[in-house]
Amino acid sequence: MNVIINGQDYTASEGESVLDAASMHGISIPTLCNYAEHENGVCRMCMVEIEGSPKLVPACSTDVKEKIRVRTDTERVENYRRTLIGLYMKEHGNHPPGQEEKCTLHEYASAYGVEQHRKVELIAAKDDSHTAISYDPSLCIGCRKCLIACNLDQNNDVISLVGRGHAVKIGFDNDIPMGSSSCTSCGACVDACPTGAIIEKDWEPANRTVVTTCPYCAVGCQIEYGITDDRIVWARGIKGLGVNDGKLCIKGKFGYGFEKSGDRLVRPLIRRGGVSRKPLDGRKIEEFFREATWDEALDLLAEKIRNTGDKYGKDSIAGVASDRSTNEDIYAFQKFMRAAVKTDNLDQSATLCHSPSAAMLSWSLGAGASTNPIHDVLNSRTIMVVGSNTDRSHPVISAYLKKAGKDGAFLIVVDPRNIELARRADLFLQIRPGTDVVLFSAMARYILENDLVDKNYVEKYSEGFSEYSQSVGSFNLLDAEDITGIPAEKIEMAARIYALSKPSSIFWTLGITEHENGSDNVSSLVNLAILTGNIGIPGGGLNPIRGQNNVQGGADVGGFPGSLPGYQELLDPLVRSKFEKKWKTHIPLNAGLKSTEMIQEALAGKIRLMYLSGENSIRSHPNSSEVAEAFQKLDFLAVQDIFLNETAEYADLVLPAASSFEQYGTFTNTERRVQLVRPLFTPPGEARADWEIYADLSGRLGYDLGFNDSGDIMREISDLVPSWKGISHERLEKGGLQWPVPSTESPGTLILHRNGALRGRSRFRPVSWQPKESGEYPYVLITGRSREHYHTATMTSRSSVLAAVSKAPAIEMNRGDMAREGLKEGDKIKVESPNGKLAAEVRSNDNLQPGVMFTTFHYAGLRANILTSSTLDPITKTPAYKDTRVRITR
Amino acid sequence: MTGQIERKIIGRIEGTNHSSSLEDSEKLKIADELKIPLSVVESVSSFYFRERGTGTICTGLPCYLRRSGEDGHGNLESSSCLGYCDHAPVLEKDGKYYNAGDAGLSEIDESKDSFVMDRRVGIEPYMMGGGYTALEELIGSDDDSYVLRRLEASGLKGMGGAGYPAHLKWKSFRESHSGSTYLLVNAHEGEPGTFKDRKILEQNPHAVVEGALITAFHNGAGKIFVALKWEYANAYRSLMKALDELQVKFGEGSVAGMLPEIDVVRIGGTYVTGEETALMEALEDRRSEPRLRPPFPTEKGLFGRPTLVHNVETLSLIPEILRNSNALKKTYCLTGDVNAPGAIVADLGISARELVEGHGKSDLHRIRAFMPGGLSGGYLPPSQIGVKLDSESVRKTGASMGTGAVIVLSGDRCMVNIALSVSRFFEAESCGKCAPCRLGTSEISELLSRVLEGDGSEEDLEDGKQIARSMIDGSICALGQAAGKMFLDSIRYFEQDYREHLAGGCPTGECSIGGDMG
Ligand code: SF4
Ligand code: SF4
Ligand code: SF4
Ligand code: FES
Repeated sequence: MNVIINGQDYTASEGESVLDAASMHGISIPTLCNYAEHENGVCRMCMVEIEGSPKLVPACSTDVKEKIRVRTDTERVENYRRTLIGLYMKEHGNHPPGQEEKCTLHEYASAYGVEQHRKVELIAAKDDSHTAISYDPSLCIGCRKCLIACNLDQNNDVISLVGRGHAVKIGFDNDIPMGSSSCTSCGACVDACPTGAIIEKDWEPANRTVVTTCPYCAVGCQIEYGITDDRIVWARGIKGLGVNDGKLCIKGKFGYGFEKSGDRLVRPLIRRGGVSRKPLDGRKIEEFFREATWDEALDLLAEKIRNTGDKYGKDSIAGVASDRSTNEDIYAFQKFMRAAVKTDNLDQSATLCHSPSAAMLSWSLGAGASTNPIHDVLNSRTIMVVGSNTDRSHPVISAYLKKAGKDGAFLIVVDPRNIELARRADLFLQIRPGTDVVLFSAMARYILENDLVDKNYVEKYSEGFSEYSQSVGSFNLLDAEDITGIPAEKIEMAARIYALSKPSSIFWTLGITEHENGSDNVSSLVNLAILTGNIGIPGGGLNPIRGQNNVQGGADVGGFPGSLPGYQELLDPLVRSKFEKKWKTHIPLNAGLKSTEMIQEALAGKIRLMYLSGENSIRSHPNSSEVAEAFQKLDFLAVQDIFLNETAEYADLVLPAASSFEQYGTFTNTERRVQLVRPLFTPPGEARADWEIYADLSGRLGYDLGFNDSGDIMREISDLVPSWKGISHERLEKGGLQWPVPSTESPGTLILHRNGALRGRSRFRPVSWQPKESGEYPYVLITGRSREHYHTATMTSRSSVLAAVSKAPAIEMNRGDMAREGLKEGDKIKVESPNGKLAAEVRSNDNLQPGVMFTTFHYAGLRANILTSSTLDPITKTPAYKDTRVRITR
Repeated sequence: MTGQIERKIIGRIEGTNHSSSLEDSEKLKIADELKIPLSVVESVSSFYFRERGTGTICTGLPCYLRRSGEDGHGNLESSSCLGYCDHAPVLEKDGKYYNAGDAGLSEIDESKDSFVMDRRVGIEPYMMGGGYTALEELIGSDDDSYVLRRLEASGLKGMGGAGYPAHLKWKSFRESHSGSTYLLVNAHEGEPGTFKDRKILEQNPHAVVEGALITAFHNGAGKIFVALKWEYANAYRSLMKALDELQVKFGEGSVAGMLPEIDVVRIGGTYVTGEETALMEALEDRRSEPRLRPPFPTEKGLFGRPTLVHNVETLSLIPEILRNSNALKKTYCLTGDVNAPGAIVADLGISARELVEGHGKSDLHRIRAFMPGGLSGGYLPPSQIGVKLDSESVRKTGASMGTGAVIVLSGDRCMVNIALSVSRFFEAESCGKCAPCRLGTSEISELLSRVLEGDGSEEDLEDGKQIARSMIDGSICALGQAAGKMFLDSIRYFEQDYREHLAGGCPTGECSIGGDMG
């Protein structure tokens, strides 16, 4: 439609506000409270004249109409603005030095020549209680943007309006200091605040900015970093950009600083002769290692690889890449292993977490990935969240889940712990650890018996129905109640709602996969979705929420044994010849080992050399002492990382890698979206991008990887992987793309498996369940993560803010259990499993059910994985982190 | 015929004691039980929170005008209108209302519940006078087009302040909506100097009920909400009794089945709660802050449904209009410097002169100014005393009639002082949502007190005018706009008072400059 602003004709679209329409055309109308997609309209800065209306009208909350005549520049409007700015300025306090630049009010005041003349001494006390954020009420102009950001956008619901009238102010929870409130430190209020009343304590103006993908989790938030003097001075989300649409979590918002940490590896290190492989234990690095040149280091590694291969066969060599590396890095890694080293013993971190999800989704549907985009949860009528403390692990996804719940979707939460999200749930099923198969199969049986099956879908698009329906026959509600600890009525209700109030989506994380029967757990969910036809539709779907930023991409580009890039089978002759032709060499004939198997084989003396890139196995793998033993047995251990982590302490050779802040490439997020990673800095010292190291090393082994920059790698991927055909760095500059992207015209694929499944028909997979004997170990220990840390915390513990907000690690228990064991808060206890023993403080947590303990795995101070067993899921070899049987000793 | 909406949070606050603050532990408990964030409990409860004293002193202008000096009644909470303005100065203790004049406390008769319950018009006498026949006629008639005709002929306009012709409101409402719609009866009277709705509800509740039923029935509203000011305990009793009586009378008959439910909700809050959208927020268990418009309540009102809002008095007139289309009677409230304050039922359009002189028994020569529409309608000089008190005529003078609360100011009043009292009222009652009102009311109070104390400057007045204009231009609701207008009016009509204060004196000697004018 046409609108006339200040006498000029412009176009605008239906439903747009006058404010947005004007700003589209570069006409700026001052605003302090406008918040995308949320009506606010309280600052009254945006008043304009509209022909035919005697009053001024707020541009932000007035929709454009055909031929509307707007004036933003009349004397009346200008006078109005000046007066209002004057009113604001009278009550506006002083900014800390250097932070005035963040204040839009100051900007307007100087534009309108309004000087601050303070009418009262400002006495409101500043709230400095939060580690990273300060709130100064004297700078607050009551615009309520923080409230929208926290309560309606992030759905954290921390910010309150306290009081009314002239005295109204912003508060946290029931008006307690921010630092003791339920604030998750997501920083949305900070990013929203137009004046800097709520601000990062150490905010500084930036000289330049870079937008890139978050280095942490697989949500793949887009972050803008402000950089001054070669360091990050702030980070923020940008409304309208990426999956996060401006939202971040504490890790994205404050988790920087590690990249400039003084202990970054900057030169290759070689173990000194005669020093055996063991932890540093406080000794100096120089006592163990000496610095080396790249030439010396890579020659050494090439020689070891050659010799080991010659002596014990190529399959005595194994490598593991980190899923925190880019797609380009991991692609180069697998090509290096397969084409240069000539072994398929290569893996990535996914084996430790979501392999069962990927494998079983792939088996049943044909793609080992989430089926629906994150935003799509807003289309769901029922949402079932299983084994995922989403609020902690994936706060940004949690924001969407909570929003969907508030908007009326029925939220079912299944978890052994009474987690934050459970409070928001319409139905909370507190399940005994390890009994998921029973619950979901009982739901399935109920659905079958009560004729709630989506017959059309099952008939048209599935296979294996009759076998499957027989397999769930043994799971009746009453037994399920006994085994899972969930009342039968609740199971029944969950089944009815999931089947009837469609579309229904399922989200899960490691609470499902990290079990001995992780694969069956996943399949029992997949089966439910097939049974009820919740596949291939908006608002439906099966969504494993991936952990590490590039765990999806790592698998996509072939970073695990048996699978060439794009899930093309190594053993398929057609595939092999395609790759061999492109790579101009032969590739291994048999599928290799998973990372957990590599450790076993190293113990058995079959694996002689390991090359670990960005993988802190000592901490992340189960049964740490066994892992250490395996490493000690190796002939040679090379570790490539950004820090000298605990695993690197065992290495013979340490190679300094670039972080994702220092290279160009891509990550693939949990919803299959390939997104660009852009460099903020050059790598420190002599550190190099992973792919450069592989390329150099490969050349020394006599094979040319053929890459001069990461663009070369992406071009090769899109050449060889049909679902990535349409992906290029150039296209990604304009925004991420969700694979499959079969052509350069394709916009990508939002929802997988429309009309059936990628593999043709979706396939039921019968599952079974065996109780686990607990014997002398009466407690179940669950490990998990906290909001402020990530993986083994090598990055997060080097970010001052994240380190400061985190609590000391402890073993958490229900108070009833503590009383029974005669324990008080803070008592030292020893927890013992068949694999090991550790000492820790005990902390009460009544969100745990009796018999269940919880701890995090991030900390060097509490290495929970000493206890976890190396029992693996038989299919994907994923460890049972969520189910370790332990006892308390003193 | 009655059903209850649940105001889970506010209900808890008011359930204990609507004007006390909640302990933190109580807030946590509410959040836990209702499964809602603590921040929501805080935002809502702190909005309705009032300092709790041993009683309440009314600081509304009619009371202020009649109060001499400080009173020794202990630790009192203040309210800007207790609704007994014709008994000014008023004070409340333990739910009882007193005239707190120089002679000491004397309980106001009409505030006693026995007084009200004994005198109210019950259903029998109401029906004897023709009550409920209009409703029955409407229910029984196939063609209801006569309703709008009679409404139009009567000239009925909204008596809540907006003054919009009722027949037009109904016509467009009925034409544009089908499906479930509501009628909201605004009984949250709060304009200082206004107490007519309380009286009507206390004395003649059936007229309101019948009016509401007719309105809802004719307009297809499926449910009636009566949002009643919390403090109006007697009105509540009288109204609830009326609903009981109605139940007994019509309970079994076929008529009952056709009538919408009536839900009476007692609502605390402040003056601004009487703003129709703020009232809806209160009913929806939120902070009682006005909404942005559009959307208008008739499109998206209570619980998101199209909602017709009417004031108590308007509804009470409808049965009578439908029965015999007589000339409209309006209840005026007369307070301030008059000899006989009170609620006066007179023909709509009676002149201010007749009201003040005839009914108020006051000497017109002693008048300095009068306010035709409570604290929000503006001031008028004595030269306008001939104005007819209907919304059209008053509007022509530049003022507005609002609810028809006439406050008279005598010759010895310092108008700067009055302006300050008025401004303090708006400052105290602003909800704080929008900046021009939140900041402007406080700024104007401050500059007025400077002027009053002899510290004001020419610049203050100029600033004040700019600010007042920006409040009129920029405030979301009528409160902030009225606050601006009152300041401008005051300077316009009484510039002399300001000049003299700037020069260091007070024309009336009422305020000894430099003294404390609180
Ligand atoms: S940092 Fe996030 S959670 Fe904390 S108050 Fe701000 S918006 Fe809310
Ligand atoms: S703290 Fe900032 S965002 Fe929040 S109301 Fe105040 S000025 Fe607005
Ligand atoms: S004008 Fe005043 S009372 Fe009305 S919304 Fe604005 S702040 Fe609230
Ligand atoms: S931007 Fe319109 S009122 Fe704030």
